[in-house]
Amino acid sequence: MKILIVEDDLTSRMLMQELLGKFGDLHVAINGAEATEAVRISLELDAPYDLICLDIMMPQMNGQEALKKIRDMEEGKGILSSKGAKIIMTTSLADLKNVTASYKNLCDAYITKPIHGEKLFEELRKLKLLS
Amino acid sequence: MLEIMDRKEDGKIMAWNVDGMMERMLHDVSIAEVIINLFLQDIPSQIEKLSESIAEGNIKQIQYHAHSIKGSAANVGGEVMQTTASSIEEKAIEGNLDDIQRLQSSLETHFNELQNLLTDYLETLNNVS
Repeated sequence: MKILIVEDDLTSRMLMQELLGKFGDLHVAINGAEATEAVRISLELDAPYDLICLDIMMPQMNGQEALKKIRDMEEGKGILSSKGAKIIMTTSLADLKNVTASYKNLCDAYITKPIHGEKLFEELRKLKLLS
Repeated sequence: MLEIMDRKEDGKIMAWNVDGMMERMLHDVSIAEVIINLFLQDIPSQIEKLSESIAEGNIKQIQYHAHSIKGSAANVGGEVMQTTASSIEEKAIEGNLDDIQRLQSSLETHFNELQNLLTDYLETLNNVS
């Protein structure tokens, strides 16, 4: 599995790396701008991400904007969102209220922070990324 | 502030909720060790950046740094510190600089308390191995 973790907070990013590292190739980005660049390159190389964990509140392009851009890039490549990367948004409970419905439709799941290993794995199983 | 103290006395939030932290980290001590070490090294510079933002009265930066500290503290189960950082974030959204300045010293105290607990825990791990 090819995974991209997008997270500006160092401890959260490292925790995700520790939890997900054993499941495949893992890349990290620290803001939305880096994330969309990583996705653009992966699509150019025909080696798209299977899973993207995307933090919502980040400087230099937040997670919602990055989500929209990623889905636009996939669409540009003729990839339907159902066939695109599985995108899990990560957010604190307080910020979840600010996410609008249009963005909710573009992602596959939400998990609230602090990240809980077993809950994350449960979402991966629901998305058929883990058996 | 009053709200934080009340909740603390109720026992609803803990300076360090080790059980919650370990559950989130799949009871994997090696993950806990990595994240705690990282937290202890990273937080002082985050608090420094927050202090600079407060001194400058830069509300947007205060909100950002408080949000980061809140998330980091939450990862290691530092509930009291997380709550204080969360209060600073909320006050920043309200633009209430006076309350932020009052909460700033509490945050440092709560970090010091948590730091002692986490350092003791790491020492215990080193003695076992």
